[in-house]
Amino acid sequence: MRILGIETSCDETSAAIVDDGVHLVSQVTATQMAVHAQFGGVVPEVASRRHVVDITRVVEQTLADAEVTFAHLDAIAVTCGPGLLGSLLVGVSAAKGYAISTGKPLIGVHHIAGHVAAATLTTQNQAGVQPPFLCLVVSGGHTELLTVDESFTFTRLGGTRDDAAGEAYDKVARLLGLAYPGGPKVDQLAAEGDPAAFNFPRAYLDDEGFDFSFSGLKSAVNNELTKRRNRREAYEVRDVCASFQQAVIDVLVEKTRRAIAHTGMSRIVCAGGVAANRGLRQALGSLGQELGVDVVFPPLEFCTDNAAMIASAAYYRALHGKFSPLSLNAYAQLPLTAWQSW
Amino acid sequence: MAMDTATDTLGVGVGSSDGMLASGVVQRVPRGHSRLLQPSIAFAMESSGTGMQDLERIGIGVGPGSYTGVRMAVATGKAMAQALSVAVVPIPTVDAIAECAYLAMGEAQLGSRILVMLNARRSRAYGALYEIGRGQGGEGSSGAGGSGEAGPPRRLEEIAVRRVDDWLRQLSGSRAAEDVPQALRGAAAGFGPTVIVHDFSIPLPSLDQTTQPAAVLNWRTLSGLLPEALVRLTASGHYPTLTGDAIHPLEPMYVLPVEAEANLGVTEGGRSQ
Ligand SMILES: [Zn+2]
Repeated sequence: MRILGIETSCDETSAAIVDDGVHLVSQVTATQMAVHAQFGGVVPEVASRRHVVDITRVVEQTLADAEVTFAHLDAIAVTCGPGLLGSLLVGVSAAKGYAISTGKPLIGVHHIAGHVAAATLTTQNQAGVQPPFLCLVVSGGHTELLTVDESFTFTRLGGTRDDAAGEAYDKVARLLGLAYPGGPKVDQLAAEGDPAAFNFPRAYLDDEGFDFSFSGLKSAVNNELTKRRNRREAYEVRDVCASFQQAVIDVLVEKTRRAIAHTGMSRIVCAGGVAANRGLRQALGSLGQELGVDVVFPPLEFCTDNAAMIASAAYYRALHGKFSPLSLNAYAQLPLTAWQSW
Repeated sequence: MAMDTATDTLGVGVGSSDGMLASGVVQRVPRGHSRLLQPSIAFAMESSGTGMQDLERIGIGVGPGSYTGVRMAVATGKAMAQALSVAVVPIPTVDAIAECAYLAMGEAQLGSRILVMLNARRSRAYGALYEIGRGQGGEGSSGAGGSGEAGPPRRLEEIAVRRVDDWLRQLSGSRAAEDVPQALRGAAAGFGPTVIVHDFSIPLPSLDQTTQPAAVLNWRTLSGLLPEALVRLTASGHYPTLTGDAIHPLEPMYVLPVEAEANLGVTEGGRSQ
């Protein structure tokens, strides 16, 4: 089954063709990173305007690279939420335009389901994995812990109650005056700093649950910096980065450890843009060794937002005959469970 | 087939290349455009017995209007044209609204000009001024003052965003607004009264006495004509016909810049000085 996937939930206009959920045939992504960098963050209206201009060209190039036409496709898939509403609507509108004019079935895909499905994609260098597995999704917009069973059905264990992990990274980067997008820079500096220099709080919340909270951590960093600046005390930026990162990682790893114990899963997938974080990779790798579980990181190209993961997730929907009507909408907020029940 | 989602009215029309409407759908469901556009297209196509392969061109309302709204028709229309390898005809939404007013007035033609104003927030309106042609004059003909039959509205200027006060003042020749093109100032004296079409939900600021509009119509009362107006304008040959790669760059007519971009411009200007 050959599916065209479209992803426009934030600031990347991406299209991809994926065969049978695992084989990437072609993918084209127009990134707006440089455009938004001058604003110090993603400006939703600017993102939406760019998506409109880029969408058909990106799809055209994706088809050309795969040497196929619309007639060769079996379905059109698109991210329908969660994300920036204006951005999502461009992708959803275009996807419905393709579906209605070609008669191909439409599949609305949950963005997080896409990040999870990224682990099943196979590239030249890395074979995809098949469920069941435990999945930790960490990105600029999301921090979710969930399980995926053989039929690709999700069970959500927990998620962030406020800021996503990636969001906390970007906010701390801004506090430190690092240019947008600052998350990767914090990771870079953290590698050279002392993770014990500052004792930032770890919000484990209640002992039983799997929810996260990172806004308190961000505030603690802010308070510490303000205090030092007021007293004119010097501090090492890299030590702040390292200590902050350690606090984030400790929480992510501890919750993952508990989730493994709770579910008995023998494989963890870490997906989403923050899966590129070196500190997190090391920590989860150690956890895997300690507990004897398999730790999988999808190839980096499928960790950041991309359309291949959307086409992949759509495949499992198609297998269950779950197609979307032409009245498919876009949703800034969309609980995974709500989407799953469609 | 033609569509517009730039205002609170969603309009889809299917018709023939002579501008005759075969089937039209109008929806005024608040926040409903994103759900209803494509089902409305499917319904209009099926009702008129038109297959996707029968389409020769797709008219797309490009605004100005609600940013989020107008992008739905533009993204959908571009994708359809690409998949079907047919031409796209971009239609300014304000032109379609002027056409609706013209169609509504029919033989009566209450005025000789039409002013369209769409709420652009902060007491501003997107809009344009049109004259109802006398005899089908070409671009060169002034079209004014003749006594022939009424012809379709002809836009007298670029679509712009101005303060509502300024739009209205423009109609009275005596007190022309600063930013109104010279050619248009005082033009009112030579014309008959103007029909104003707007989509403001609040009453318009008191119309200047010297403005004396022939009628003030809310867009709501005319929007049922949107499918027909769109089909007529798509068939009119007055707009560009985009095919192949020329479809990609098509974007809505925003008129207003994004605030963040405007602010950035100001900051950069300040720094450079
Ligand atoms: Zn994402």
